[in-house]
Amino acid sequence: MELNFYEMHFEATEPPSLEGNTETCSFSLLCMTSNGDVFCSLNDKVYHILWNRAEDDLDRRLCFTPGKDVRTHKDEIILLDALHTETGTIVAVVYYRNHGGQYTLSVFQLDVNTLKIKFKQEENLHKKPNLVRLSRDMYSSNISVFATYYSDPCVQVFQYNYNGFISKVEDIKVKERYPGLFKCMFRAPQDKRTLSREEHVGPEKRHTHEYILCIDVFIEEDLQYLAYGTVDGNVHVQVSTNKCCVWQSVYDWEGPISAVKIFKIKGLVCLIATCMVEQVVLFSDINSNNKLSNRVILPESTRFDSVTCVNIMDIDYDGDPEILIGTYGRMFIVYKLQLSDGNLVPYIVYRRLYTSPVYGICYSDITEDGIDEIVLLTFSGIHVLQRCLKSAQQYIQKLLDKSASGQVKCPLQGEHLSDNCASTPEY
Amino acid sequence: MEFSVSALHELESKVENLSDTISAKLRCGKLQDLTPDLFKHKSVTKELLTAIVLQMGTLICDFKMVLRSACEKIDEQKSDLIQTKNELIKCKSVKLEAVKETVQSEMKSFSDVVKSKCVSSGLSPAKIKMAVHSAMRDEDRAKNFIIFGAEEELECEEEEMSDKDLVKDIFGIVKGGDERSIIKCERVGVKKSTDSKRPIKVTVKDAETVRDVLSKAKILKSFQSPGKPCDPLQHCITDKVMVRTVSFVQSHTFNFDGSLFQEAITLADFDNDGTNELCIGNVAGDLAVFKENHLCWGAHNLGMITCLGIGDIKNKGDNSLVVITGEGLCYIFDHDYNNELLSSEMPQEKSKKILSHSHKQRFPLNIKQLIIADVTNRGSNDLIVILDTIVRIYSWDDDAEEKLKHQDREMYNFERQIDAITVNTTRDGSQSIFVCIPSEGIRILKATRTENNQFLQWNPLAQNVKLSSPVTDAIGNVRSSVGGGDNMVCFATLDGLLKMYHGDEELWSLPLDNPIFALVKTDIDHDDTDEVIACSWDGLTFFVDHNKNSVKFKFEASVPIRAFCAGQYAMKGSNNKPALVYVTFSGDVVIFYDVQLTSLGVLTLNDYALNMKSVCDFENTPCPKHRANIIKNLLKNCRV
Repeated sequence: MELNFYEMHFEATEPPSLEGNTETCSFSLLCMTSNGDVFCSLNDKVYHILWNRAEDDLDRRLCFTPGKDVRTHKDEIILLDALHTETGTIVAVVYYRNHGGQYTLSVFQLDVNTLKIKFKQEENLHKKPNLVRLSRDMYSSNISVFATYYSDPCVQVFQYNYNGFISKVEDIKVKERYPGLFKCMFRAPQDKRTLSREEHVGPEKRHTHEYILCIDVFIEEDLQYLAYGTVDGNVHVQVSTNKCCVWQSVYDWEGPISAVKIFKIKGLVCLIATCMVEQVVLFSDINSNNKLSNRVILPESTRFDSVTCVNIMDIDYDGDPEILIGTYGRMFIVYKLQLSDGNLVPYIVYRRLYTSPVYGICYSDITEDGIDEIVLLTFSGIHVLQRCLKSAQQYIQKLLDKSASGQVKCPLQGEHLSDNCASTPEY
Repeated sequence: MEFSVSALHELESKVENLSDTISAKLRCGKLQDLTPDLFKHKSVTKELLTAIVLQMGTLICDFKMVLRSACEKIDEQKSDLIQTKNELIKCKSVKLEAVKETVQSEMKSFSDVVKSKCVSSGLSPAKIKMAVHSAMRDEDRAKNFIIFGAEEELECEEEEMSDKDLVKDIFGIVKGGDERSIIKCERVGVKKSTDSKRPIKVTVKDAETVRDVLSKAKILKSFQSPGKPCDPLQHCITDKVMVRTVSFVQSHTFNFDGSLFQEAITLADFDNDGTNELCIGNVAGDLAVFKENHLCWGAHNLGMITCLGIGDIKNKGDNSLVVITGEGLCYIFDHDYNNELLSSEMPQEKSKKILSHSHKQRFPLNIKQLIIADVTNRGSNDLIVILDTIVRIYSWDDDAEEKLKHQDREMYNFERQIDAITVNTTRDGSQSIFVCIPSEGIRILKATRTENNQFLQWNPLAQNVKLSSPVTDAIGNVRSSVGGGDNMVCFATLDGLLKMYHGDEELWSLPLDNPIFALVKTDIDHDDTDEVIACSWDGLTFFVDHNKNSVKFKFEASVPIRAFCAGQYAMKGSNNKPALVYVTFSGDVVIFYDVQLTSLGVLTLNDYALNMKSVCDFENTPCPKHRANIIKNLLKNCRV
């Protein structure tokens, strides 16, 4: 499909209030689940972004429905993540209590349709966290919550049992599940050299701390890929099975790693890492013997200041995912990957300039019309990009014609389709 | 029969004696002596029983008597109590009346206070009335009065909607109130014979109004019944009003110092190459023409430029730039490559060329607005200018010495200062000039032909439109698809209203909540109808189409806007695209080029999917959810 977007809506954030805690920034956060539910925190409330479901067709506006009870008065939301599971959506929120100066991690199940909170679990964190990431545990029905800190080079993993309700698992066996992280947690600085290292870049640096800035977990069949980037510029990858760690590797880089993402394209597992000193590196086919040595820098990724966020999505519906990056230099770029001679070659297919730095990219069908929109978080607010509907309509008409002429097999009236329709409530 | 306890005791002792003798005789074994004693004993016992029964009867009689007298006493007391009660109730009602009076007087003073405050704060009396009304109704009848406002609508639903007075009251309040805050009041829902409880929908300006009304209602309610507080806000969906907002990014900033008038900026084709340029002039007499991303032409020392315009004033097929100054000079610049000289004074602006005027003429002083249009239907363009109270029409004459010829016949003197004028052409070709005069409203000048069909005459008093507030800007010839595709006229008033007129008939009025100083029209969504673009001093820009669909854009500037202009502009070799121009007080001219909006209202794919055809009844699927699922599956599983 032709990549042509128009701005459908822009929701400006209120300027941060002076009453707020100066330590934390009351900045908006954006996250999405694999199910396509987009959550954001605007002005210290968690919102579920969706189209206004008013019956009156003429009154179409974007409706930011606040999730209730997420925060009490004067608490500031500083971190947010959400995860879709078979039985519901799990949201993790870290908020700062202005009374008492405590950072609290709150994990709860949210009913997306009614926005009701169930089974809330709260945990006090010992320091100011800089990352909270929800992940499904590969070997059990547990949910892992990773938390990293600004001033403490460790990762805390909270595991919650999830069998329809959330309960905290008392005995956390982090060492078995995430040995790489575990090392990171307890390793003394001088022990760092014992890890296998791909290569050195630049002069020898003094590693005092390994503060983790970003974590990504990718589960495929019986392999669990765990990648994390540190403030020193190291990208760690660790691949493990149920029983043991298959391999782990480190790539040493120049600046702090702002985001890592593992994804699969054309059968190859790839890792994308963005650096705060203006670079995006694609490690292609990391599962091969080359591990992290097969890499390429995305074109023009160095031109627009620090790269702040990355997301992997198939936005042109060709079956292969695209790479979406947002930069501090106010640019949003979409890359496509082309396979030539066994190597993935990235090239730019779309870009758009914004008025302020881009901090988050999501991708979801918030208008509930079957075709996805791009939700972008910038410093000034949330932008919703809609496709050129005319070209989308033409594209779908083509698909319909094809499926009608029998060239493509398409489950237009399949069983699971009607199930989908039945399971979603009517408005 | 007298009976005493002593007699009873006597009998008892007798019985005891007898029984003692009987038992003694039994012990002695003289059974034959026993029989008479037994008989004696029997008779004594019988006597005793009779006495007891008799005594019981009298006792019951006595007891009945006592009861009766007690009942009588109770009845007496009861009537006394009822009397006291009635007296008490009387006292209470008198007191209640007094309380009610005080409450009402308090309410009155309260609403007076609020009213006086609302004048300064922009709160309308209608809101207060509404609030008082709802509070009174609720308390008086003690029934459910539900107010719920969905974003900008306040809906009132009563259990007993058959009460016509109530409906009338609401209508009266809304109609009589300030039209700024309450837009519409109507019955909604389907009328059924069995059900007369149709809700009244009151459309108010924004959620703030709803909240104001409701909070006032709340306050008054607690006045009336402190014991039973009722929170109307709990029925109110207090979501923030979400007017669709967009952001535009592609912009270019030119530097142009000096103060300028709102009319001294325009987007039009100066060099006749088919693409538009930006023309701007300041009070220091500097004129600049920007083409694409650079300053292309300039002129200096023209005087205080009050207004400028580009059009085919000479009626030769080429556009000219008309510049009028406050000192009463009219310059006409033509784009002519032969006349251009390279600027020598500013070496850094090498591409800039100095323009020299092709015609200069003395005009009256203090001209503040000009329009180039064919208003006289002569097939040639005229120059319409306003100065203070006068509208003058000039036409080009090549042969005369003063080439812009003014005929006395075409001058209209009004008694008051003119705010703004605009020209409108209807579909049948008739022309009208809308002259906006404060406190008088809008005067419409219409062209009428004389008998020999050669001359046109203007009838200044042909039509009149009354407006409550002075007009800040007006724009005519707004192409629309309503009213048979006729052109509309749009006015912005000082109190923040946008009014759309078809001829002298008001189509709608839209409160924009912001003082609008500039109105421009252009086709921003490529639908062959024009959108009105209104800009306020703080950079808030509204795009409104003829169906009242509106989109908001905020130009983020640290300083207020000095002038605003919108239209079509060509940037870097592209064609004319919609553009917005903001001139700030810091001397920046920010042009947003290639401003794109697909539509003013938001469309989803479902709107497009309605005309998609497929063998599998796709177009007949009514459920949008189902359609969305089909599309989702298609996109997931099929490739072109």
